[in-house]
Amino acid sequence: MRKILLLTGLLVFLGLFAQAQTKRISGIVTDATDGTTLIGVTVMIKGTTSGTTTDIDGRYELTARTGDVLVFRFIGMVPQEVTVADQETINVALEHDVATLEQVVVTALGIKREERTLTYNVQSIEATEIASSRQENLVNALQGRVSGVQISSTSGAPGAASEIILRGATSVDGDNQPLFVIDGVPISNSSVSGTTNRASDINPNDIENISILKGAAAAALYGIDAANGAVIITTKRGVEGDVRVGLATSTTVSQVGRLHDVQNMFTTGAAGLYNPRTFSHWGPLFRRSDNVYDNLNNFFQTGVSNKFDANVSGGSPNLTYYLAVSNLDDQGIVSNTSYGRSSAMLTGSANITDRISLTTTANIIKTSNSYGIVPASGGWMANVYRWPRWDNMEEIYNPDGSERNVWIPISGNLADVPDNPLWVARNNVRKDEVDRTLVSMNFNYEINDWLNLNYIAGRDYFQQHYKAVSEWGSAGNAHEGAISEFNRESEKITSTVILTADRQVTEQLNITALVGNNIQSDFGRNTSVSGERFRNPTLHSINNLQEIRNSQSTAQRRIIGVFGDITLDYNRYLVLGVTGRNDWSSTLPLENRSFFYPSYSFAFIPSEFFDGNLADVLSFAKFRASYAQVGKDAPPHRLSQTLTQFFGINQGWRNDPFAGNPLLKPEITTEIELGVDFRLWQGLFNVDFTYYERKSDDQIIQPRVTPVTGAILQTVNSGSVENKGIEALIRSNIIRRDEMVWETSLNLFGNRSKLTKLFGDLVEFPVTYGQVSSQAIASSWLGEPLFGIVGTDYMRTEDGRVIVDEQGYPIIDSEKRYIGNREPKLYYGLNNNFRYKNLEISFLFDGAYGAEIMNATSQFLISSGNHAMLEKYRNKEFIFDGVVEMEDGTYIDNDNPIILDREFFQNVYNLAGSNFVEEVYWVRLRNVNLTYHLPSEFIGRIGIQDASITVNMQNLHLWTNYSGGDPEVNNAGPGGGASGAGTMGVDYFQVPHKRAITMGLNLRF
Amino acid sequence: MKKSIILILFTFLFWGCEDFLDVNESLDNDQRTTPNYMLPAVLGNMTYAHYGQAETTSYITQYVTTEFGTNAVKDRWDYRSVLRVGAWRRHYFDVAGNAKKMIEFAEEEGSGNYVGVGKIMLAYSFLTATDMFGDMPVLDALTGIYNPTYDTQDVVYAEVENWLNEGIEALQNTSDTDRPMTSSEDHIYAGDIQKWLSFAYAIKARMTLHTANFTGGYNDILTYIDLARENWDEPLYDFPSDADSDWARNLWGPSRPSPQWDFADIRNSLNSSVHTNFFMHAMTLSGEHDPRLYELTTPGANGNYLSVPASEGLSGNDIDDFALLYDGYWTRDDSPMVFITNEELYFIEAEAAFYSGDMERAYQAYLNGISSNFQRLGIATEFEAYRNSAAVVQSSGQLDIPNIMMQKYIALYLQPETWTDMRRYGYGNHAYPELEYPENALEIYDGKWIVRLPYDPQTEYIYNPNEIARLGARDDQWVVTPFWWIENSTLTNP
Repeated sequence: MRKILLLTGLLVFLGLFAQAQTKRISGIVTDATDGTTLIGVTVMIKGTTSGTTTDIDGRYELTARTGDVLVFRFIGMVPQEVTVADQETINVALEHDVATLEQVVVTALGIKREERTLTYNVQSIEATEIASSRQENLVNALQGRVSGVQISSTSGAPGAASEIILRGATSVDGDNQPLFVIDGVPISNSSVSGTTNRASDINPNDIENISILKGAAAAALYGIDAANGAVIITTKRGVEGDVRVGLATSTTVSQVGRLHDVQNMFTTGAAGLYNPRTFSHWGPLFRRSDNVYDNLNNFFQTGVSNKFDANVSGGSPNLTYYLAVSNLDDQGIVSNTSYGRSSAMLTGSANITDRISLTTTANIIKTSNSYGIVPASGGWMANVYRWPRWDNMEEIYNPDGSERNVWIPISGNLADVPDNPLWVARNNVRKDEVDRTLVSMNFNYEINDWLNLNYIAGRDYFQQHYKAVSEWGSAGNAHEGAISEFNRESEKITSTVILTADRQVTEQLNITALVGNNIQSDFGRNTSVSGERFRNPTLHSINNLQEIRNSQSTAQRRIIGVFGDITLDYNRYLVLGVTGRNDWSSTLPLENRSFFYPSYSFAFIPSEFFDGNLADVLSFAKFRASYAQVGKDAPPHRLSQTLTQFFGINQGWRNDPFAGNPLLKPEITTEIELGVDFRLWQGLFNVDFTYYERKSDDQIIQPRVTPVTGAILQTVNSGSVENKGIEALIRSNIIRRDEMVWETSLNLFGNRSKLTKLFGDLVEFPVTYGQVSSQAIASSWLGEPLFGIVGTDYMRTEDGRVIVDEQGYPIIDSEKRYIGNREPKLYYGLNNNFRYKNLEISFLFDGAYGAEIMNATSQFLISSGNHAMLEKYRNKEFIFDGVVEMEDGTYIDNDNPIILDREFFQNVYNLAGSNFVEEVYWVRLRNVNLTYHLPSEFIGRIGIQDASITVNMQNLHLWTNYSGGDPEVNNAGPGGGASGAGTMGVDYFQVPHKRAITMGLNLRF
Repeated sequence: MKKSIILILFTFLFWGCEDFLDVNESLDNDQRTTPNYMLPAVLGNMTYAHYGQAETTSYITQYVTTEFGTNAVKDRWDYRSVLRVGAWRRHYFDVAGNAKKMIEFAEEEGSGNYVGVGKIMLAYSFLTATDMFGDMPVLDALTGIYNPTYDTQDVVYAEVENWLNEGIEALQNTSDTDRPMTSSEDHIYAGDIQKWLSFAYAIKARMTLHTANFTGGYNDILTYIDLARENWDEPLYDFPSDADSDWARNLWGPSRPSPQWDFADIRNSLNSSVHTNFFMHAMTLSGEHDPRLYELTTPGANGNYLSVPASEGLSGNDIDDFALLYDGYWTRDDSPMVFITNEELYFIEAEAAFYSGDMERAYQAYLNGISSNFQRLGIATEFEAYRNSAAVVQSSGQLDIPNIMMQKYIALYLQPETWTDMRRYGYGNHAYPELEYPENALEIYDGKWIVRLPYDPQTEYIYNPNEIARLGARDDQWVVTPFWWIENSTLTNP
């Protein structure tokens, strides 16, 4: 590790002082159609990694030798090559690429392929889009911009975890998230104990490009961990030329977004009687003289976040470097919540010989996330919503600095007093600190002009320290203080060798073939200590605990893979691909350890035959089809039941809740993908359309079993899930004229899932962390969509009318059944980019339609008498629209009025889970970005190449029919352990999403 | 250069041999151990199971009731929205599963003492569980079968009896080569085999009493009592006064221990509970309180001992006029947990002798039961006065069932066995003269008393649905539907 850093440093150092025996070449690049200058055109010396980009005036300057070939590339343009002769000025006019298909995309194993020849769907996002999202969690930066993706963030708190799922969830209870790969090296995106998803450690500004490989075909080459797709990240690189310096600074101000409404009429108590020792707001009306505090809104503050980025890059023809440092300090909308991140990334590339190059990257990241209120819900906002309205929550402390008690309990025991949430936020702080180092080495050897050997090795290592302190004086068990602390080490080492042959065999046939070997080793060790009762009230150390417990867990997993891929490109209109991979995983029993899975794909490009008018209209058309399988192994250490610590008197061992299963075999996901891509009117409209079907069988799931078995959980091969869906991406360059550009893109995604088989006699598979209410839970029901809601409803007649008893109360059918689907029917995103002279404006709308939300927040607000609708309905007379069953079995319309009192709401209304399932839509103005580049004549004088000012607004407005807060909810998120169908669409007192505005300044020297 | 590439490649390819993949054994936890390291969990978990049963049933048996009268389960017996019934897993997973594993390890190494103790605990756990739930898997239990068949309760009882017999046999054949069992393993008897045998006979006496009214066997009970008395020492699990964690506190205690998240459903709520009229009347005689009341509770703010009808909340009374339920003999953080009390053994004897016509023995056992309760509570000196009061029957000829059952009721304060007694007698006033049906029990029960707990909704109703359907356990009336020994009881009517 240290050696690699040293080496990289040395290379960079050498590169800075290397003297090139070359000359300066400069020029201007313009658009051939209108003669306007082009900003950001890449100018590279062919066969090297050195080059530059054009500035705001379209100018470039670099050093080259006579005979070098300069390659000019710009998105949407046909690349042009110019050989350097005697001239010192090379001006180039680039032609529009009608099909924009020469664009290169990064696919599995970092292999760059022309989009034209792709036989499956890959969507990529460029640095500018990532930057303009102003999201520090890179998962959130993809939101609304990519089709086929579900992203749900757990809350609006700094460092909140986000969940990403591509093309629907395949596993009933495993992790459904894709693999994250940076510069060819897989990294951990895990999330433990409610802490953030670890991919968010990556500074989004270090990213050059993200490619999303959605399907099994695209991901087959990454093997097991890419069974749910892959997110391939390429970081920024230096280019040859003068030292370039970039500086960016921004400040973001945020405020709380949409909240659930609460009633302001009734005080605490029950049965209309005032009670000063309860959260239950079923008391009498407030008197005019009462103070009624808006504790809910007062709970939040204005969040301020500051970000600073700096980078230095450059290099000689043989050595380039890129060094970036960044610092983020994000203070949230809840008191005392913050997320800080500092990172330094250094990449050096060296051409050791004409044919051998080496790139090494080291990325050192430190993050620190603090919160008193846990971002991943778990109902942390419950006491904020229910806090007695006659009490000013903002009065937190007694004069002596201790927590002010909201009431003195009858028992006199202060441990029974609920804690003031603001006090909790300020005092019971959890801190999650991560120290992470990502290093990678990419060694490339061009053996000859058609054979290439590539070796990538990388290591992702982090140390995480998590500490949650409950201050002396907390309610309940932690009254005398408590600490929960863990240290976690995580290491992922990968080594990949690929030998690639790319040969034009005949004039018609091009063959690309590769074989490779991949070795992966995952290691995790978690040491945790927790305990209660401080000796010294203010000392927050485990040394100070009177009761203490500790435990350790180590997880190891190793995989060896061998793979091959062959692609035949016949006359540019027929592409055929076959891949195969065999994996050996340590987590499976010896006899099932090895497994093979293939993929086949095919593309036909009829537009190669078009000419004349047809070619003018339909500039490009491609049909593609693929069939692929991906295998998946088991979680580590699941073959046998072990013993675990018993913490009671005399200690010793007891049975671990997990039963072993020595017969596990790999799980197989099969996917068929069909697609069509076409470009109309010379690229005015580009349409990609994909249909897929994917089925995953013999799933390795960890269902609960009846404790009668002697275990609580069991790992088994069982269960099948089917997903079918469509993805569409429509892009258009509506205006592309002098100094004015308007590009728009619309993406659509709809997925339908179905749970077709389950373990044993099960008809239902509940999501462990989705059981916040007992009347409606997040659960998968056999034969229904995976993201189901299972719960109770009113008793109904065959034609669906509610059956009411003789008194007029609806009757509860306590038999639980499938009552809703949390997966939206359709996701969409609409992105628009305008550029007029020096001004760029972009805005992004996204949203979803047809999702059913389980609004447990609403249910609990009714239970505690805080729901806003109680202002209108409480104690009102009401006749239920339903029918009463007669003795002869016939029904008559109900006409018995009932009083909508506390008994009704708590014992009737709240018992029907279906009352808290809402079908919703939402449209969000997610992002508006304005960037103004200062005129170059103005800044050029002071040596600045480009200076821009940005105003960016996030989550500006939300249109929705949802009765609660923000419908884009995920109660537990990936960190809450919500695997499988997860807790997307489960609303349970989470910290709401925020609205924010960012002011930024970018400078390039 | 080329050489080094080949070297690197070779290293990684060699790395890929089979040993490289053999990393799937847990580094932190073993699959096996010796039985001495399993016994603490078996005994400790049994106290949590025992407490869980007690916490649930003490509201049904009207020792206590809630302050608000609005608790779904405690006041209305409404299990429709209950997520967990933890008693189920506490028996199967926490006690029985570990006992079974301990027996396996002990049998393999030939430690008869651990085999015997294991079987007795297995029997005790199954007995107390089936008395809560009725029919339940026993033949398929702990075999790994994920959809086990529910056996009828008589089958469970037969298995319990088998285990007791096997346990007794194992303990009678212990040898010097057995692994030592001391207080570091056996927190109850410190490895005293004779005491374990006594406990086994006491369990036999208890279980036979449940069925003797319809299968006969009162004389067997008296035999078991005699065998139990030979070396009798209460199966008492004590908790330290300086516990260093909630795992080592009595769960009835004022610190309301909740050692782990999954104890939430049985965390005690004595801080918001008060005594019922039924209990307080039993503790009151012509305005005077039974002296034991002051040992079972601590005085409230106003020093009064009000009580309320079960399930109705405080009914407008001031909480300060009620006794505090904490820090009585059974409700401290360091109170002992007793699986079968000395008093219970006497009252089993009294009842069995009564029905077998030995009134003298019945009367003596009745008096012993009361006096041993006074002794336990440290007020032996007050027994004589009480014995001579109208609260106690003065001669064997006057002794009747309500006398025995009400004194047993008092002596078994907060013990789950009281629920079994009440159900044997159909909650009848012929045994419990002033017992009243709780006002707020769900109307759908139509005046029927709760007689069983539902199986754990979070596991059985989801993971073993066919068996649940076969039993009809989804029915709202399930908890008021009698099981085997209730259905057959000849004692339910006067």
